[in-house]
Amino acid sequence: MSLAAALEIGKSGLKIYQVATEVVSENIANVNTPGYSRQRVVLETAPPSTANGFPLGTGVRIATVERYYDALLQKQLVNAETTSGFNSAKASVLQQIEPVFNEIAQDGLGSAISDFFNSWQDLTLNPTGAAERQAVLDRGQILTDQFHYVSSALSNASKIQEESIDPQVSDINQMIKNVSILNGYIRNTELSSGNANEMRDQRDFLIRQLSQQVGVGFEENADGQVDVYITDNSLPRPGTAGPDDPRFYVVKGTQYGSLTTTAAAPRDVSVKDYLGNSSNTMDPKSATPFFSQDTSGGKLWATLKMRDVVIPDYQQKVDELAYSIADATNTQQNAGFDLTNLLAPHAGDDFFSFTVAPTPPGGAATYIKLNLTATNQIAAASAAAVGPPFATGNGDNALSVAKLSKSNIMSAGASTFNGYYNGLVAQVGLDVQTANKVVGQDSAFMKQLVTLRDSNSGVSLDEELTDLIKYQRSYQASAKLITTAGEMMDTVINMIR
Amino acid sequence: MRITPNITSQNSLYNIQQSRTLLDSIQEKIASGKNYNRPSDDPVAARLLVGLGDQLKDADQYSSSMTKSNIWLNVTATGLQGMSSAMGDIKKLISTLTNGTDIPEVRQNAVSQLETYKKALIDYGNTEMNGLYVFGGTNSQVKPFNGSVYSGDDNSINIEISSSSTQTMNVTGGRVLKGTNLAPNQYGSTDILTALDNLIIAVGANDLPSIKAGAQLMENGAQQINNAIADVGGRLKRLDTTQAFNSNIKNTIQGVFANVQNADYAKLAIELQQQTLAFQATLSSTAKVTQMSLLDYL
Repeated sequence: MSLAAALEIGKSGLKIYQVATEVVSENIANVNTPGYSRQRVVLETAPPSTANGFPLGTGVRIATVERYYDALLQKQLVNAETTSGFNSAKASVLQQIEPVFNEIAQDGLGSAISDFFNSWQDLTLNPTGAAERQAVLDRGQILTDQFHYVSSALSNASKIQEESIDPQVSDINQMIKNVSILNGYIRNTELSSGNANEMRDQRDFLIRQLSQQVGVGFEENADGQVDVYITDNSLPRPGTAGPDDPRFYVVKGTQYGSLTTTAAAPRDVSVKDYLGNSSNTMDPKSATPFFSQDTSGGKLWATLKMRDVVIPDYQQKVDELAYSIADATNTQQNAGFDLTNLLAPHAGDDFFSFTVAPTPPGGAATYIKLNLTATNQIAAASAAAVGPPFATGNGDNALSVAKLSKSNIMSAGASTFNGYYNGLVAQVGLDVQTANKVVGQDSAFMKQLVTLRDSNSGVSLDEELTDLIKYQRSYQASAKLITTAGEMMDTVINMIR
Repeated sequence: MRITPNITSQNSLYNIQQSRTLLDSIQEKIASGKNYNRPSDDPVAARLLVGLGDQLKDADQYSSSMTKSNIWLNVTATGLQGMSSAMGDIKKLISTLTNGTDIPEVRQNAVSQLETYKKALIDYGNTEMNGLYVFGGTNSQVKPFNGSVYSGDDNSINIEISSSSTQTMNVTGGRVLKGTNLAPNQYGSTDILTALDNLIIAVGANDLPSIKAGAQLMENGAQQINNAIADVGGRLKRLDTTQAFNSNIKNTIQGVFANVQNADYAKLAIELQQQTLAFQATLSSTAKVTQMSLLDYL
């Protein structure tokens, strides 16, 4: 053992603490980088030598630069992101729809229905009055306008979902591709030298983002690559060419598949795995849904579900209401007699008609229109008035129409028109409320998970600064060691002179 | 647990957000004066509120129908009062003639008076309201009385005054002056106008038995009109009662509606006070804690 060895140890100290400072600076620089996991140099003693007659280490060296990382937390985060992706997308769409049904704050369809039937009530007081008859026509017009408004608001909401599918899918495909590229980098880097910590962080973060968009599963291979799959639970399993396993691997090492959509609206989405096998279509209406639970489907599933199930369900109810009101009013109007011919009383024509014939009740709210054009076409008189002479002042049929609003016509004779609509208002309210509550829970859960992750992997500036000082002092000490060893050498050399 | 600055800032943001949401919802209630501003605020209350709103609309409609019906019945009553007083005059005149008179001038005078009274009866029978003949039945656009001929009908105009009951709004001229004695609303079977025509002839001819018979018929006719007046009075009374009941119900519903929907300002003001305090505390502690760093001391 020579003085040179002391110099060597000093030098290794200088070098190592410089690296340690670099790691600290990397941590500090990335304090706000999303998905970054803090890193630590793990120091160990260099192999000992026995030159002194006893084993003594030859300084310090870096065992590894490790990152603080919890694989289980990552799994939980991925699941939570998927749930939150689904719920928040659903809540935001529902919140957009809610104002249409906000009967509390402003008069909408519900009050248009009341007003329409009340105008018939007014007509019973003066069955021949031009003003009363005009009011019935006007209220009828307002009612059809309200139906059009609600129905177009719903179909717009549905259209927005449809239009957002393509951007979502291409976003997802980009992320899938990026995961496979990162897989390649990570394997290559780790084959040649240690851990590709930063790239792993990036990949983890990417998978988290991906899982928010669509529900995915992932597993890490021995070579550090991650395989990502989407599970197709729908039955029957696609064709004989497809795999029996419901897992469709969209990333397998550096190979990747994609999500495909059909060209024409309504777009169907399906998964094509890295081998080119196609899954079933993601169909929320199916009895065996693609995703076993809604919340495991992510944002894309929420979009599809809104487009195919939730909005059409509201639409269907509004259609049913429009169809029933039109049907009941028409039937009663046909039973009465209008004022178009005072000599030979003419039975009333349909009050409402449809620009496009609905397949009952589909499309009724969209296509409903006023069929009558003149006030004398309103059939206020009942059959009892036919005479002769024709009792034009008879308002019994108008009274019958007005009474329709109190009859239990909707829901197979269980509720009135207004009752049915009010039920729909309450249902929308409940849906929005539930969705909002769930989003609140999700964000609390996510916050908890992110806090846990941050607690483990996040950068603490105070900690880094403490380390920085520690390493700085160590660096100074190593430098002092070198100067001391240098001075000792000087002493030796001076002895020789 | 290891706490990093990011955890602190995330938690602070989360809590500020929660606090602000609460503050915002209290503020919205105060500003709008309503407890529920959208169905999702409370779907159950929303269902109740829209239901109550419908009931209020119905009550308003019934109230408006009853008011209009009230006017109609009052016009009818005025017409009937006029008829009744004309009948009174006729009776008075006839009572002077039941023993007959030989003076042709007196008879002639009586005949012309009777003819005037008949015209008055017919005029009352043709009472109009907003272009409609109130005694014309459902044939209300045609003048019902032309001489002694009645060209209206005896059908009822029915209106709804509450969810379960309807009421006849009109009294037909046939029932009052022509003695149509059909159910419902039977007043009597005296054809007053024809009887009056006969009476005029009898007076002109000084036909004593016929004058006596006519006097009896006039007596019956007066009773018939009084019956109609009593019926209209009864209907008006019923309308009053129903109207009062309706407005009672309306007040009750409005009370319930207000109880559910109207914001309790005192309570909200206190909540706002508390929440403001909490929010200020959140802000202040966030500002203090997030500023601290080891860097300040290095």
